[in-house]
Amino acid sequence: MPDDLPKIPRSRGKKNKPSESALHQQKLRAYKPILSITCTLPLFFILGAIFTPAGLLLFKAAQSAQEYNITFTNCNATGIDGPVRGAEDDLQKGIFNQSLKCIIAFNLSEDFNGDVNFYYGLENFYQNHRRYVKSRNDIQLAGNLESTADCDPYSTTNASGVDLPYAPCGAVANSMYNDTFKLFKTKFADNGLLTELMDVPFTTDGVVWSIETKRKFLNPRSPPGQNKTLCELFSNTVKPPNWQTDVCKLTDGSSFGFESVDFIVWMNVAALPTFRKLYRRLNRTSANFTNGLPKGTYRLEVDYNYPVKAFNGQKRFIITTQQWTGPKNYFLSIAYMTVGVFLLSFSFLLLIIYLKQLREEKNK
Amino acid sequence: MLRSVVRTVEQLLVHFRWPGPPPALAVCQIASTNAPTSAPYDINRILQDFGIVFGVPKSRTSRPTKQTRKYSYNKLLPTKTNLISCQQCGGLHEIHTICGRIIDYGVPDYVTNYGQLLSAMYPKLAPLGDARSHQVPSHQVPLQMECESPEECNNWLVLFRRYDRDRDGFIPVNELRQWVHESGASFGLSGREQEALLTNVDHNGDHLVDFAEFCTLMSKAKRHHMQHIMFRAAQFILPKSQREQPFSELQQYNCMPPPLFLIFITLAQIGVYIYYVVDYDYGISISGPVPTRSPLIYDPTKRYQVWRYLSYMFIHIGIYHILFNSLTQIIIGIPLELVHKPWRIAIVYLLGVVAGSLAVSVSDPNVFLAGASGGVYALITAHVANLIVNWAEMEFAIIRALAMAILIGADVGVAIYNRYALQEGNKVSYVAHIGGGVAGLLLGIVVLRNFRKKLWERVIWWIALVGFVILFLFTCKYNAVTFLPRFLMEQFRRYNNIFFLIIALLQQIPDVSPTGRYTTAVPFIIILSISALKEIFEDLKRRKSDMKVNNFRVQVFRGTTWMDYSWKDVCVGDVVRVDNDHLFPADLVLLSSSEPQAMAYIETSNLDGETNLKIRQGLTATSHLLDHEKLANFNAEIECDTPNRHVHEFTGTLKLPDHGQAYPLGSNQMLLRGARLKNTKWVFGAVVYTGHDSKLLMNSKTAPLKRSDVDIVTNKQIIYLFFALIIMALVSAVGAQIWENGNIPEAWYLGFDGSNSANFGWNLLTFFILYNNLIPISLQVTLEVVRFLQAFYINNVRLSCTDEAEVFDDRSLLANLNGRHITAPFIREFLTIMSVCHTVVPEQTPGDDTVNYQASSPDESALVRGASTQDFVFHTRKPESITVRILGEDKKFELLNVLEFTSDRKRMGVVVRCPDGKIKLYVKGADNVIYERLSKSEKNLYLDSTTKDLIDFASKGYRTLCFAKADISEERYTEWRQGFYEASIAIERREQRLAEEAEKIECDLTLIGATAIEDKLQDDVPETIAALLKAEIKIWVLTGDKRETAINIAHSCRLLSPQTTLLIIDKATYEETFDKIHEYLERMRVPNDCENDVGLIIEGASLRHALIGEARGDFRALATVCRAVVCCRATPMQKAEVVELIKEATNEIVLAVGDGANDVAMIQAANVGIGISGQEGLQAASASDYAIGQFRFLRRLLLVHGASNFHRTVKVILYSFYKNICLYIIELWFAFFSAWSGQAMFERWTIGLFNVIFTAWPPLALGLFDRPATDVTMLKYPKLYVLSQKRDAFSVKEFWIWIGMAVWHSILLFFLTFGFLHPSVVWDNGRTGGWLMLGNSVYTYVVATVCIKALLESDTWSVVMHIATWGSILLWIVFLLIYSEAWVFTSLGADMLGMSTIVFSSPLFWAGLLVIPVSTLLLDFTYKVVKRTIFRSVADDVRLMEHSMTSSGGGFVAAFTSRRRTQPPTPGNLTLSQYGSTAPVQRSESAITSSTMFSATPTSPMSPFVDMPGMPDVRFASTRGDNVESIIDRSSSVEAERMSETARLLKGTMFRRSSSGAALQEQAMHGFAFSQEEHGAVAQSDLIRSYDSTRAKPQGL
Repeated sequence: MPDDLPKIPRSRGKKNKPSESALHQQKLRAYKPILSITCTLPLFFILGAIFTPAGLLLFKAAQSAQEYNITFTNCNATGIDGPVRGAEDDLQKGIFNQSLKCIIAFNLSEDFNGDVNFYYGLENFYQNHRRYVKSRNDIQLAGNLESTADCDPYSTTNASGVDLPYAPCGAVANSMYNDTFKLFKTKFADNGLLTELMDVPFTTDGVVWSIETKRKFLNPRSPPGQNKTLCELFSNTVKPPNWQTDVCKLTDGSSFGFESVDFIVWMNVAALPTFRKLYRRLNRTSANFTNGLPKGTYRLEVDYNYPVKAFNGQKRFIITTQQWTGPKNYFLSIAYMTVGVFLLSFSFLLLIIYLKQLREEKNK
Repeated sequence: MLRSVVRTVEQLLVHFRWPGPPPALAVCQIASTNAPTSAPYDINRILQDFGIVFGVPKSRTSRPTKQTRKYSYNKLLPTKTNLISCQQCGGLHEIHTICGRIIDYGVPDYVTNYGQLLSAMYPKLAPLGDARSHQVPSHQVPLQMECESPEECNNWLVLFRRYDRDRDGFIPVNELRQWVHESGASFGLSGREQEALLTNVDHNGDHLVDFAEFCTLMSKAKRHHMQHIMFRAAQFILPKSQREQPFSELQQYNCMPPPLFLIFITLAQIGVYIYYVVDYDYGISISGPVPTRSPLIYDPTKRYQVWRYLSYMFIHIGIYHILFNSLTQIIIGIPLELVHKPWRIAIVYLLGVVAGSLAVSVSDPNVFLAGASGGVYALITAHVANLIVNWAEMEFAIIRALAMAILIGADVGVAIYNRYALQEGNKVSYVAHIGGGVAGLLLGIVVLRNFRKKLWERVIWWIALVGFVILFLFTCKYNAVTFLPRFLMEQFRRYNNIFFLIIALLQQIPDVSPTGRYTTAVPFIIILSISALKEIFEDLKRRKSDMKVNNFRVQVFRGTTWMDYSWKDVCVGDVVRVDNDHLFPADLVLLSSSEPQAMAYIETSNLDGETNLKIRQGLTATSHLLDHEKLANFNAEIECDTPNRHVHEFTGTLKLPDHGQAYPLGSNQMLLRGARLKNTKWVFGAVVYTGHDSKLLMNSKTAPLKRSDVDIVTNKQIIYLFFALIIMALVSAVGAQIWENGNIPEAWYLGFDGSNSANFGWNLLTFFILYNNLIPISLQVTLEVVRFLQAFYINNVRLSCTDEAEVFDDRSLLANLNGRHITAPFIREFLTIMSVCHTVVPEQTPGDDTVNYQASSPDESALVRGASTQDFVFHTRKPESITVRILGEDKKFELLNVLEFTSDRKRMGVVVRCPDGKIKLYVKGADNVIYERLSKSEKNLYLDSTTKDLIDFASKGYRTLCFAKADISEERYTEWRQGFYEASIAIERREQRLAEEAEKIECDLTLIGATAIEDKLQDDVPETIAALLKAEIKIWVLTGDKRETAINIAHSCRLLSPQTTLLIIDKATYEETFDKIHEYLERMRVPNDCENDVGLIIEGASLRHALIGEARGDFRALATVCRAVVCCRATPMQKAEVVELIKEATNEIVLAVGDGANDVAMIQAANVGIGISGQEGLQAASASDYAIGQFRFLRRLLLVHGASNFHRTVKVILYSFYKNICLYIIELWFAFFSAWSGQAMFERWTIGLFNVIFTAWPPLALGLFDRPATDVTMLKYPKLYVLSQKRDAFSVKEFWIWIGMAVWHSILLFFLTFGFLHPSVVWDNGRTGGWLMLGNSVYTYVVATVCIKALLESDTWSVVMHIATWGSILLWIVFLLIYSEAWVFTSLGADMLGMSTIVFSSPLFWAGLLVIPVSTLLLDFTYKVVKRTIFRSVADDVRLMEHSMTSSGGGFVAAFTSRRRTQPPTPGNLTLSQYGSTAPVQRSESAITSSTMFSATPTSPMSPFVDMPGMPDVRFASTRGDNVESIIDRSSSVEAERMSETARLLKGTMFRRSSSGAALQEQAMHGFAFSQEEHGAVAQSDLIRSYDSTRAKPQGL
């Protein structure tokens, strides 16, 4: 027998026998989408029949959303009483430690029922700039104050010969929004005199995602056994250069430091240069506002600290009611309706072709 | 000498001396120390104060500098004490010094007597020396020896004057120091010595050097003048700024250790060279002795002797070699060795040598290596390393770098060109140079001294070290297998791998990457390792099969007995015994055999493809060696050629020392490796060439790396995409620039001012990295995996019968007895001729009645065997007679004459005296030859019926043979015999005269009958070929067989039909071949009405000429218009050349099918090589890309697997590009809203995992389970194959359509999401989601869209496809859920924390998930629907047809189909018959062949065939499954169509015009069934005369 002949046994054992399963033979049962009229027509029609009403539903939801916008970049422009003193321009000179106060009066022409949210909005503010986004340290924000990697250009500062970390470090934290708002419900007598000034109660409940307060933004913990105050814990750090308050004194009213709601909201950077951030929600436990914001005149007092004019920014204060679709935005509903209408009309077109063919068949 | 040169230069300088500065501004006067001390020194003030400085001419040191040096306030001159007034001039000078003025104005004799003066003064100096003994070292003592002669003093004085510019007799120490530093090197002063000189020179501490001190300095300097040469040399190696340190080192070493290493090595090399020159008695020559047996040389077969990797450096071949190497290493190496210590150089040099041999062993595993070039090149590149490391400090760095670059570049260029373009020629192993060079470079960086370590140099150091170690280990590790270089070459031949490497490296630059540092590197390494694993796996498999061959057993004669050895242990000089049917383990010289006169039959089809057996005959001097006693006493010496690749050539001599006699050895004695012993019990052979020296292996090429067409196009598109990427990056970077210019200063919140904003290049890089994923990183690996699995599936296909690859005898007799009874006299005669007229040798084992037949022509033995089955048993051959047992009765036929077969005569005959005493001539031969010689007078009884049978046989593809006889009278024979005898002993033109003589008697023949022999093809070969022809595959047959055999086979596999016009080219010279080709070509151009049924037959001898020069082009043109081409008698290399020719001519894919070792070259040369594993061994199968068990599987392989896998692969590629672009171009849209900052829209790892996880499965499912049509359909309609091969499927246009679609989808996906997300609040709780809400939403929609797109593109929605699609989407959702929780527990995903809750809690997100993918895909889907329902393609039709055949609900569809076709006679028929069905299909039996439909349909505007003329078709070559080879190529079917016209006309004219054409036709039709080896070792008559089957054969033990 020649040496190198392949020895092929007469009957191959199980070993060499290829599996007969469909998977092994590439012969899986399969549906063949032939996309003939008979199968596409119903598909188009059904999809169209779903999309159009869904679009209408979304449209209605968007329609019912209420929103009131106050642009107060030049707070004297909209104020009834005008700015108390100074102008935003002063801020641009780098004097951040003095607060301007604008008072803006406005009129809600209809009731804002249900939960009411208050936002501040910024325009032309690139929170999504690469180096801005990068300039933060999440390890520090979780309570490890020493960690300042990536925080350039605000990572550490040389204070009297010792390099101390900024807390919080980085450009995001440094540029934290620091205007504060107060809203009052006002009543005027017929002669135009202010008769009543009622504080609209704000709450920070539900302003941030709970996971952020639980896992992401944590103040440093006092070592076991020592009961240090927050300021002591932050004692080896420096507040960011633009800040007016120390980080341990930063508060939204209930929580402090890194856990402050204002801080968390700001640190969750926005995706687009025009954005709004939730400032407060209406505290509906207060007797006058159980149903939301009633219509009427209001007065907004802003501690104007934050300079935006330099980069042509705009500042807004926004009041919205809460809808399941979020604020007023017709976009998705229009998309739904467009697609739905297109599908329906195309399916009608196909139907016409189909009927024509049927007739031809019959004629033959 | 150098000293005198320096002196001359100095003299010259003195002559060009400027007048010198005016008298000093300050000299050492007693009270001149009131220089300002409080105010800082201000040169301006000095200039104002002393306007005189303006008059000072320029010198090399700028004036202020010099002023500073001399008068700087912190270098105040000390107050001089001990002043005396000079006796000569009256000036002041210190008591123990010479008056400064003397030097300038001094009396000449004073100067000449200076030495005396000094010695006279010296005692005065001594007490002062005591006072400063702690400062003045003892070497001040030999002061009196300072000037050895007045001349020297004069010289020094001249020098002194030169430097004493202000002529005050003193040189400021600072200035002197500067001067010494500047020129000290040329005096061989090390920095430390300079310092030593200078610190001591001013021994009176006055910061001024007087002449005496100067003399001390000079005399010290003088001592070093012997080192000048060394310094000069070393200067070239050293960086400027770093001369001090190495000089001091060098001073330390001086000549200890001297640069002896290279000298020693060189001497050793020269010594070894001379030794071998003497030893070989060769003389000094250019090509000098090649001591291959030296234990030092690098011998590829003795790699286990590891020292050879190093010791080969001592061997040099030829005087140039040794001269070049030793001179270079001395010239280049010694300076290096001076600077760096010898041990460093030794490391570089020796490891360079080793690296050289390692590199060679990896790249050319079969060559010897000698010479120190590796080391020399290591030295050269060590210079480069030195240059790199000390670049900034090197003199003429650029010029040096250029010189090195030119030197090395030229060498490498020549190397690559010689090695890979010319293949051979130059014997210089440039690979060793490269290896040595690389080692030198890397080691140089590691080992050589770096004088100023910089950070990046430390990095380079590590890189070099790691690089060297890795390369070293890899070359060691994969030494036997040429793995890594090939692997890397393979990998980096793909542009995208280079690209990803660059990206991965770029990402390492801190702060430039928007997506982190390892997001490319990690997937890239994974992908490379997957590829590497695959390669290693295949490599191991290959090695395993090598091992198998290596361990075949053979009997070797060692000592006095036979021993069993593995093939790999057979050495040159061994005597081996090979038994019947065994392969030869090496190239052997035949010594003796079991047959008479040491004859042996061998089968060489593995080597040259010829299927008939060949006879080899040993020398008579060795033929007596029949048993081991004789062998043991046998002693001889064989001298032979050096190993070469010429299969048919061998010259050597065998010397018998006992007799002192020499015998010539030729190819008649050669038994080549790869051949097989046949019909011979055993042979003894002496081994002459083993292993890689054997002719078979010399002829084999290393398997080339093949790339698919798709790969090439993909590669090209990647380049375009790359440019698109660069443009995008540029646009973005410009955008960034504009934005930053406008906004950065104002956007205070960013924390950047203009100064630290990124520059343009930086931004460009950032965007480049950001967009890099446009080029799909996973494509390669997806393709690898898809192909691997596809291959797995091809392997796995269960055919109806899988176990038929059995071995069978391919020649069986079809002796047609024509229904006549065996006892009829005519039949008796017929069978008698069959059993008498041949050269077969019977072999009968005693006690066994069965007779075995041995013949060089298998056909002949088949005929004899056939006769024996009819009880005409031929059983004894004696030199003079043969005995046949006819019907049980022994009849003895006396053999009178043998009329030999030649291919010209095409017949063979014997003259015998029959048992009844009559003399008869029996002839068998080709029908036309016999018919011509039939007796005209005598009526041939069965002429008509035999002719009819012959035609019948021929049409079935059998090989026919006519038998005839003639009765010869005694007188006529006697008369003729004399002439024949004379002719047979003629010296001139013997063969021709013999033929003439034979002609005389071969006339008036009586036709006895005809036989037909079926060349048994493998199953279904004709069917397969027919199907392939239908698939517009053009078929070439390349065979080593004789022309007739080849034509016969082509007939039997129905490649040629009886109607085919044959064009035969069989000319022997170039001119004739060229003319013939030209003539045929001209004929083909004449328009005529014949069919396109022309076959071209070309002989190997003509082929050789047809492939060169002008003929090549014509041959190509001719070959492409013929329907089939048959090349016969082609050597393995010619086969490969033909394949190359076709590849080049048609630019199409060529597929080669073969089963023997002689097909390996061809299989490797073709784009697709297919090996049939079978009868002739596994060489072809193991060298092939695909191996199949039988030829007929080719049909399935091509039509089903080929077509659908091509279809799938194209889809995978296009889809991979699509999905990447679809996702990553969104980053560009986002850049509009993110200030062009390069911010990624998605989380960095999700970007990386897109390809690896979330969208990895749909392409796999597409690539494996998509089916355009069922197997049955595809086999049934070979036309579908043509459609699948349409390059439109993967054209540039198609590619960019997909890209355009991807861009469109990305726009929709981004802006639709943007549209509903831009208010940033999409929850009922009113919160905001942050930047990743947008990113993750878009990402989700992209994953969904892209996966569903795969589903839409899929032709079949199988379970796997559904799982892949929906599973991928689900996978992403699951991933998001997990990853959102990762932060704090891992250091990843801080940004992603809680994103799942955030994203999934938005009702609008879910609403978007429904509408956004749908609206994105709406256009595609609508387009598809419109196209499928209104503008259908052929593939759609097939799909519809399948659908209508399988599903009952398809009635409507079918009706719809028929409506679309307006012209057909009956609607159903057309649809089906168009696809060129080979088998009858339900409705297609209207007998409309594809070709007629072809020309009929173009009028239909909707016909899929409208655009077919421009499309390439595939032509294909076929084979008789066992040994003919096939080639596929494609060419335009337009050409084919035009040809059909031409050929039709041609055939008519040819038939009419030339009778020779008809004769040709005839001849081809009725090929003759046997062919003998002509001009072989043993003539047929000799063979007949030398056998006596009654004698017992030797046992050979």
